[in-house]
This record gives sequence, structure tokens and C-alpha cells, in this order.
Amino acid sequence: MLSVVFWNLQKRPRSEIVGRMARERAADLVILTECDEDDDLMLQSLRDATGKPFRNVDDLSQKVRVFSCLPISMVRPHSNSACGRISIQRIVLAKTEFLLVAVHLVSKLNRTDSDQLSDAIELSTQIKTAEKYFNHQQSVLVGDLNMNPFDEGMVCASALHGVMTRRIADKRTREVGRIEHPFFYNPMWGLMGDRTPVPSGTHYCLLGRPTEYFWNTFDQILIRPDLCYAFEDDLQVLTKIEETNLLTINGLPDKNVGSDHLPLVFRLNLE
Amino acid sequence: MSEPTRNLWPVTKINVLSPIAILRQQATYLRETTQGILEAEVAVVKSEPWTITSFWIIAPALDRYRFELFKIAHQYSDLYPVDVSCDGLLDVLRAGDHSNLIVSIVDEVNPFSYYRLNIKLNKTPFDEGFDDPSDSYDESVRVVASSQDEFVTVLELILGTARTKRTLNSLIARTNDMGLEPVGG
Repeated sequence: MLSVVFWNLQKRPRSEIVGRMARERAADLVILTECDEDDDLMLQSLRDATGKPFRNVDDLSQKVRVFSCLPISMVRPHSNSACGRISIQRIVLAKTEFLLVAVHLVSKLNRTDSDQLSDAIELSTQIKTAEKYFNHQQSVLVGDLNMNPFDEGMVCASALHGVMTRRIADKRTREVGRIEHPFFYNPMWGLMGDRTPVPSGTHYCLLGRPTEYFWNTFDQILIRPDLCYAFEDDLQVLTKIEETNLLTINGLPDKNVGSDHLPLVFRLNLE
Repeated sequence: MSEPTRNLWPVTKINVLSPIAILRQQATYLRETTQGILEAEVAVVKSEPWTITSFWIIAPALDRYRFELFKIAHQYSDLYPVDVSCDGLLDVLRAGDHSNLIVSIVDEVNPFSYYRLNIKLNKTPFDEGFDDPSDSYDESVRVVASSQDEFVTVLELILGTARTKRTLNSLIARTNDMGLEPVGG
């Protein structure tokens, strides 16, 4: 079983709690964005908390930091692009391999909807290029996409083409305009609103605009249908790390303890 | 017999190179300079009315690891002016004296008033009322090179940045750490 955690740290000094999160979740891979802590401090915390030999997988990836305790031969950096916002790793296991695409796309504050669609198309193109290079479609996309699962960039066929059910994703591709577009299964659809275990999203924001969602699900994982066999719905938005509550008494992300984003953890049943 | 007319053709230079040709030359130089440890790929994505080109550094011995160093964009029908965007470029521009260059900035503070502002670099962007140099802001900075000479100047700035040096050094070191002989040459 492979355990992956992701957290946007909002540039807050959180190495200690990240270490505890990695220990509690038995993380093999820790992916961080908006992480201002230097490598030495973060690595020390991860190693001290877990007793495992964590290392920074790709020291050139500054905006998306990937730390792993897996052997070097198992986590191989493949590419870094879009001003460091897209980092692709090839994870080579004993019986299979997959691509781990870790991202931090540009904020909605700095992008129009059409800009975000354009960013998503670029991301999709890079994933497809890497899949073609490695001759498989076993990819998992994780990170702060700064879009909700229902935004155009997440759903549009030529962009990320994320769908809300496994059954639809199982069809693998959809033809639009004579071009086959591969699906992603986006399980985050099932974690929105208040009919799920808390919380209602991964990020809370209120800017006083006419259209407000209040809770956003910007932090997401998406899985290619060919890798869905390894995903047994083992996905959580974390609200506690050991005894530390990441929410305020009002149930919102507590920036004083964690960040304005909540962490994600998911596991893949792979060896 | 009547006098011949003057030559009216507005061609003053016949050795003009396209931005892509210049990038391909630099790709060749990189492979030669590093004796094949590193390569570069000039990947053109045509997108009417813009031609967008990415410049990737590749480390062949590291499973062909790819690092996108910068992007350029120009109108499909015109080679110049060319927009150059690169992470960390703002820092380079701030540090140097490049008052002859025009910087085009996308004002992304308010996404509903999306416009471009051209300023001379001897006024920094922050003198113009921008005071939040966030990551995204840095990415919004585009240097506009209006001629081949200006493009070469901008390219020299980018290739000389600390980020570029760090990238090259890291990839060369990682390759050497693998104990592999340099390939190609």
C-alpha cells in the first residue's frame, strides 16, 4: 500500500506538523506547495518524526516540493514545467509503475476562467506527452489546482476531463470532434457539501463577490481509469493531525495551526 | 533613356533569424558545451494567432528528465516582437540596468480588468503601483523583444540567471552522480 499526502502550507512554518502527519499516515510521499521552509528543516522534521530516510525527490522543483522515503530507484523525476508548477515523477514499483503528477496551478485571484482553462489544457497536454513517452496511461494527478471539480478546466474534454463516477471513467476515453480524450476519475466530487463527513471542501474563502462558493475543493486527486484498480476509495481530507485540530471552533481551516487549505491523504493498493 | 527608380524594398538586413532558429542554435551550443550531458529541446506549439515555443533542458542520462526553462510567444504571422516569459525574470530585471528594454506586465491583481501596461524598465514595476511580488505576479512579467538584437539580449539575461545556472549545475551533478560517462559529444 502506497500512502501519499498533499498539503498547501500557505507559506507558513509547518515542518513540525508535516512530520507528524507523515508519521501518522505512514506516508511514502509527501507533496507540499507554498512551502517556504528550507529543505534541511523539512527533511529533518520528516526524518525525526518517521525515522525514515526522506529526501527531496527533485531539488529543481521549487513550487511543488516532493519528499519521499522510497528508494531512489523507485521515484524518478521526469519533468518540471510551467514555471515550476507542474512536477511529474515516474514511480517504479516491483510489479507496476505509474506517473505521479504534482501541481500547483495559478490562483483564481490571478487568472480569468479562460486562463484557467488554458492552464488545464497545458497540464493535460504534458500528462498525455509523458504517458505516451512511458507507453501507459497509469497516472495520478494531485495538488492545488485552484479550480473546483466542476470548473471548465477540470471537466472539459481537451483539458483534464475529470468525471464524477468510476463507471463513466471506466469507459477510458470519449470521442469529441474525432479526437479521443482520456478520462480522469475525480473522486473529489464525492467530498463536497455538507452531506459528507466534515469538512465541506479543502479551502474556505469569502471575497464578498456576487458569486461565492464559500468552501472550495481546490486540492484534488484525479486518477486515470487504468490505475483505478489500485484506488479503493481510500481518500480523506484531514481535519486532525494526531491530537492537533486543523479547524477553528467554527469548523473552518485554522491558519494559526495549519493553513488556509486542509491536507489530503490517499492510498493506492500497489506493490 | 529614363533613370532607374530607387530601390524601394524595405529590406535592410538579410541575415535575420527567427526566434526559434536562435533557440535551436542555443540548444546545439548547450549540447556541445556540456559534451552531451545536457541537451535542449525547442518545442513549438502553434496556436493561432500565437506561436508559443517552450525551451526545455533535458538530461539524457536521467531518464531524459525535462526542465522547462522559459517560453516565448509571437504572432503567427510576425517573428518580432516576441514575448519572453521566465520564472525569476523579474529579479534579474530588477538587479540589472536594462532601461532600453520594454517590459509588458499583465495586471492580474484584478482579473476583471485585464490589461497590459508597458513601462520602461528604468522605472521598476513597483514604482508603477504594484507592490505585491507574489509568485503569480512574477510569472505575469513578459519581456517584449522587438527585434533580433533585443531578443538575443533577453536570452542572454535568462541564460545567465542564477536559476539557469542552478538548473544546469544540478542536472550535471546528478548525471555525474550516476557514474555514467557523458553521452554524445
